Amino acid sequence: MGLWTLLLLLLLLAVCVSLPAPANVSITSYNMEHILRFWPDLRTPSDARFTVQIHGTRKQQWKTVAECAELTARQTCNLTSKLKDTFGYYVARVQAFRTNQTSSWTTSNLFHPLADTVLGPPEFSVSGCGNCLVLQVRDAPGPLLYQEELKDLHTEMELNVRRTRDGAEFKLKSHQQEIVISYLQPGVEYCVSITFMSFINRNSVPSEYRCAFTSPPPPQHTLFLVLGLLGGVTLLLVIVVGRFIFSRKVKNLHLPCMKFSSQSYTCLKSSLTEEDGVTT
Amino acid sequence: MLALVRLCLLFVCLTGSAAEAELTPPDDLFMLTLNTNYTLAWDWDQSAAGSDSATFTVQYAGNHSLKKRNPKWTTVCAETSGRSCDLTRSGLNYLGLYVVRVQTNLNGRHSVWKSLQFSPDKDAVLGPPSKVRLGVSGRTLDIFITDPQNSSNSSMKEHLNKLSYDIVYWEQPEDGKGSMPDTTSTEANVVTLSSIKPWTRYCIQIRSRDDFYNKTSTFTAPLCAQTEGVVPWWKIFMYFLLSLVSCFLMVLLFLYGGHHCFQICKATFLPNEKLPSYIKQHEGDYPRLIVSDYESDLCDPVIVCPESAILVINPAVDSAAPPAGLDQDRSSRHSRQNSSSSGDSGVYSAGGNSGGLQPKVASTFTDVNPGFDSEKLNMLSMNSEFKVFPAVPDEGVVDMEV
Repeated sequence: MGLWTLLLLLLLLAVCVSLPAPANVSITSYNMEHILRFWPDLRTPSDARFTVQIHGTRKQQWKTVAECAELTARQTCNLTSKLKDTFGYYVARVQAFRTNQTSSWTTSNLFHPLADTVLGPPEFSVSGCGNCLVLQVRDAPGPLLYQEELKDLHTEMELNVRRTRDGAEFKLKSHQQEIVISYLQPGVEYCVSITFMSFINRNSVPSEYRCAFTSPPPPQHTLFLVLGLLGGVTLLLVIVVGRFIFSRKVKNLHLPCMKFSSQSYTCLKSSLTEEDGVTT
Repeated sequence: MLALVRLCLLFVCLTGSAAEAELTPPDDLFMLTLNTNYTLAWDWDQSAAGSDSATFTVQYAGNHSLKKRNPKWTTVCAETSGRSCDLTRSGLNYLGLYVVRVQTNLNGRHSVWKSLQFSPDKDAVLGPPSKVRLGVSGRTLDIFITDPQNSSNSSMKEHLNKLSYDIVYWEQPEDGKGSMPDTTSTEANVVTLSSIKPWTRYCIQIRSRDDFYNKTSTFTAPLCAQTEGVVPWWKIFMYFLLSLVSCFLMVLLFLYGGHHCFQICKATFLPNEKLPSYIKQHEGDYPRLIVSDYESDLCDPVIVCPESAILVINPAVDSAAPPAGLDQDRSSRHSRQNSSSSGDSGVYSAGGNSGGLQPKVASTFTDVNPGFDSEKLNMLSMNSEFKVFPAVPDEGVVDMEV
């Protein structure tokens, strides 16, 4: 009887003092780089370690990831080379452990490498060709292991073309690295954004809008012409009015004529005789 | 005997079955489609039933399920009296292959099923673009195309990935014949035609197309618009100048007209000239020039003499007091007395000498006249009371009144 109670007490003790399992486990992927992240429970002691196991659809058993057998709380586990079956589904689980204690397992979400990975924005350049635009898409980086798969994922693209002056936009689909968008208006600016969009993967980050002119914009000579004409006419008016006011002032102040030519003497004399005629 | 009875029975059975004739199934099964709207239509011969009206049942199933022992048929229209059934709401997959079947029902009897194999991707008709809009920007033409819509009002591009548009455009002046049409093909929804002429009217027609099963829609109704272009600089200059000149002329005319009106009004209601004060003196009376009734007040006898005679007769003229400072009307009287006139020969005789001297009817002695110097000399000589008798043979005596 005593032995049983002792055993019961020991069991209870083990349960009460056991480690809490990690709170959250998730597998995220960016450009086919798969990373496992976990968040330990708040009550987990700081000296606890964590171990990771994965389980695929082909092999129905849990396999410990060798590099992630003893992780600290803040570390992550790189599963890029472990999830080789790109069309299969994987599940991961994490357990906390100390010298004599282990916690229960926390499992992650179901992960499909090709479908759930997030593809980064495509790198491309835009240039104009008269009434069209030429886009050159560059190869996106990724782990060497999955170059073929990435190439497949990067084949189908959706272009979002937008005209700057009035905001008219439309979508186009393409699967080539050199894309020509034709039937555009020459002499205006268009902005393009590309997103990877294949049947299997719809989690692509759209790229930034890149803008270019289809052809150099025509020079705005109309405005200059109108401004020039207005300026010319204003100047003419100013000259005419100024001359009118000036000549009037000359008459009122009896100023002698300024010497513009050799006829100054004649000018003075004629003004004087005029005066005589007025007063007598 | 027995054989005869059997034969009779067989005959009766046969006639009996003949009387209860086989119910004819519907025929001419036909699928009427547009985008994702599907309608099954059939025909059935009414004459066999007589006056009774038959009803029809329509069912469909996936082609793959027919291979099973118990294919799952979904009823779309049960006991419908019309000759058509709408399968749009049945949720048929655009890429699927289905078998649709119809059966006639009359008085509890059913005909055999008549079926039709149907795949929307292969058989459904593609509709034209749902909306086309034209925009003009300079010398280019913008075409805004809206995709054909499926039954849930979303784009048909969801089902047909490579949906493209054929655009036919031609020159169409308002009064005249159109030119040969050009065709372009595009997948985009915004197309800009740039290889067209400016200041020309164009019409367009569009149809949608999918190349996988060579589906083409009907053309939309023609839409027309006129392109614009760059205005040549000399035209701008001409318009500017014309508007400037016309504005200037109008303003000038307006100002001149206004000024003229103002002047007229001012002259009419506020004249500058003022009436002399002695005319205005009599208030209430009409203004008159002659204010006194007595002739002696009004009139003064005036004698006009030739100049030389005046100088002789009136030596008392004080030359020290030059008449230049006298009043205008008083001095005029004196000067009239003193002056001579060669024209009035009735009062005095005008001599040859006096004829040489000009009559001085002017009011002041300060007229600038080089000929007057001789007269001044004469006056001075008078002051010294020295009588001068010029040699004038014809001079007469002049009566003077002071």
